[in-house]
Amino acid sequence: MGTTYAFASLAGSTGKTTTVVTLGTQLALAGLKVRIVDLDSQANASTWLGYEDTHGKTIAEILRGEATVADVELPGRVIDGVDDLEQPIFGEIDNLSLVPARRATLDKIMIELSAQQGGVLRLRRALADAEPVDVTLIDCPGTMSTLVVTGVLATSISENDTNPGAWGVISCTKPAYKESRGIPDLESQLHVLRDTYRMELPLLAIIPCVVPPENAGRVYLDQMEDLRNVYGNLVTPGIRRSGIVDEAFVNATPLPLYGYRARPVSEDYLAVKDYLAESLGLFCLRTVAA
Amino acid sequence: MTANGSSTVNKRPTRTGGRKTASKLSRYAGGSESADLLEEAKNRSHAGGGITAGLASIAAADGQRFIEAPTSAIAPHPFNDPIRSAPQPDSARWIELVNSVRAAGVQVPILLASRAAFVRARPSLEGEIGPAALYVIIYGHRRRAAAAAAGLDTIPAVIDDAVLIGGGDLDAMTIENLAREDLTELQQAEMFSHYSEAGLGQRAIADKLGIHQSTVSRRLKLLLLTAEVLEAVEHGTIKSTEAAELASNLPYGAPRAWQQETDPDQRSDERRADQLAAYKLVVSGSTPKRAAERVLAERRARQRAAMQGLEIVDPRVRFGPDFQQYAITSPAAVDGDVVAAVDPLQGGLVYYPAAVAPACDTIPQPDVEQSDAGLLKLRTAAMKARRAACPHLVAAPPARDKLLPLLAVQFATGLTALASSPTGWKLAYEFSRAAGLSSAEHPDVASYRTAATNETELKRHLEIAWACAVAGYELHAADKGRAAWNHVDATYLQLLQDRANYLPTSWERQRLDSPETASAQDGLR
Repeated sequence: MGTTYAFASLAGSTGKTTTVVTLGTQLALAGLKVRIVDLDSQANASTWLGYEDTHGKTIAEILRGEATVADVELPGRVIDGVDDLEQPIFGEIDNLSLVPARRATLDKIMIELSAQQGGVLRLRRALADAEPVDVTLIDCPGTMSTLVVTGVLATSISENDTNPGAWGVISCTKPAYKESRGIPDLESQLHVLRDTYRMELPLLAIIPCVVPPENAGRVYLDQMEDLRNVYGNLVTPGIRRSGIVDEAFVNATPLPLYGYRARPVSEDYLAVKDYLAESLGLFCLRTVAA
Repeated sequence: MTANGSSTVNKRPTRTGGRKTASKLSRYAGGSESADLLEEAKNRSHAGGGITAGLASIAAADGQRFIEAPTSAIAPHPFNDPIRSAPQPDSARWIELVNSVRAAGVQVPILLASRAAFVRARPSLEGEIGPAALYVIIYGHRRRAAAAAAGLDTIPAVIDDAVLIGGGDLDAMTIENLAREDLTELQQAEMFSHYSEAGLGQRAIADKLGIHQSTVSRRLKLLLLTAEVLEAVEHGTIKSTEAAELASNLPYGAPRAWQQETDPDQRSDERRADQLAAYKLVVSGSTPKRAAERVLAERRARQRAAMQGLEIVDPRVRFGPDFQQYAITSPAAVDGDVVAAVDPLQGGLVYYPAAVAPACDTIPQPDVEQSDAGLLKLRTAAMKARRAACPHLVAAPPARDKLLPLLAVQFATGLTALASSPTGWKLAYEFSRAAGLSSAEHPDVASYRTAATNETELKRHLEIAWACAVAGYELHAADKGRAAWNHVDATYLQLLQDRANYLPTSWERQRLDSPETASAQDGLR
């Protein structure tokens, strides 16, 4: 069976979307079938994967029960250049698909989901009915809402006895107290959800993103130290702060495909990917190889 | 070094290892065994338990207010069908809901707007929510009614006044109701008309709710039906598509904002009567369009008779079962007074000389009519009457599963030879043309036959086959060489009566009374 992870942090701009798109692309390049689900009403993951303004059905229709994953799913795209009319030419990213969102359409859904029984379980049901993939990465919004609950509950479709790393929540944070204090809050929410829905919903890993260079200030070193002291081996290697991330986003190209200037950040993510797979047992890479 | 920077640093207490910030981060300490901590987590979200706790904390995080609202202070939304807010002791789903509420309370919070916000958004509806109401329901009318029935003092609710912005309460209610699929078509029509009164066109309504425009149009038309027809729609006596078409041909009721053009007669009692009459025709098998035409034709016929000063009579009562033989083509065709009757099939006027002997005189003298010349006349009159009805029969083919046995009998009894004879094709062509079938849109019977040979669509094949079958029946029945009719003719006359409102003449009825046809008719019924 596949693996499913929700990326959540009860703080904004912690690198969730960057991590989802970059890890997703790297896993796809490594030959795994990857599905990225954009649950964020800002729709940044959709923009990054080539669908800045999608007109078709989106995750919103899935959450309303009006569409299946197959109706909505699109191949991940990357801009290969522009044509004579300055219109972008898109190439598809093999093995990578996207369940897109359109900006602003998800805000209304939050209310509808809370008012309808079982509303927060619709994504889980839709993913269960969808064509299976190796890895599903769900990009959740940065404040607690029904959408985060929806994303977190959906990971349990990959629940199984033999591989405890096959499903759960991955948090992103910055080495700063404003962001990392969201992690205990997230744990508390997971606890209530576990008890309410009787599902095992583990916090699997914490990825420190936007890590400043060592000479940027003692406070960042302190905060990284605190994070590692409190969460131990859940904390992965850090991702460096780099302007190339924003540049690649504007140009709608995932970091691993953005060229040599993105290599350092991309390599940070490769280290994270290896840590997640080898030290924490995520993505079931070992069972795939065997 | 700036003055600012150095002063900040200097104020901080010196820490071992050169730390400049205190370590404040600590893990959430709950474990699955830690009941106290779980209780604390739930209390933090101001809720009672279960799913409610989870969703309540979410609602709070979204900036909505979550409360236990007093059941008595909640008013239904005036746009919502009152039936949904009333107890429905006959409904199994209702009883199930009340029982579950009694056992476990309301599990999923309902959505409310505050009175102040509601009155601000919809000032004209203030009178309808009652003085005691502090909140108005957006979602959850049935849950509130169930909570009241179960005697609950309060019900968990999310208060979100933002839902009222831009008429969003209507959106929220409609989308939720449409998605649940338990609104009747009439209830949907009422919802759509609220939008229409808010100034939205049918296309805009369709786009807003993500349904097809023709659905919106069909539903809205239901609002132009009389109470009797609406009741028939709710009971399934008439299909709602037929009812909508009826309303579009014969609208009744106050003019509506969404009507592209209003009908000057749509408020009159005459229209009400016409719609009911047409409804009865539809129920007995007519299409709504033809029923409306028939009813309007009758009204025009009666007006014309009134203008001409003619009495309208029931010809069967006045002239006896053979009334058709007395019919004249125009009032000028005979000297003396003329009366009129309404043609039951077309709704037009049929004229009769008033001076013809009344029915009671003709009935006791059947033997006088049995002369050869008399019989021939009756036979010819019957054939003419049947052939006038044949286009209706051709236009109303039976369902495919019923068509097959009929065609099989035609093959087995050799009627197909008649049907595919030149006369058969000619009749089929004439009937189809008179019925306005698209398959007969050809200048003459030869090109009709050629086109039929080259036809590839099953639908057209069926249309043509049925027209030929009717022609076969008719030629068979009209065959002068046959002394008596048989079961095939009985089938034909039954089809004419069922599908073309045909009334057999008394001569035909006599022929049908022969022993071999009677058994066939029993079999048909």
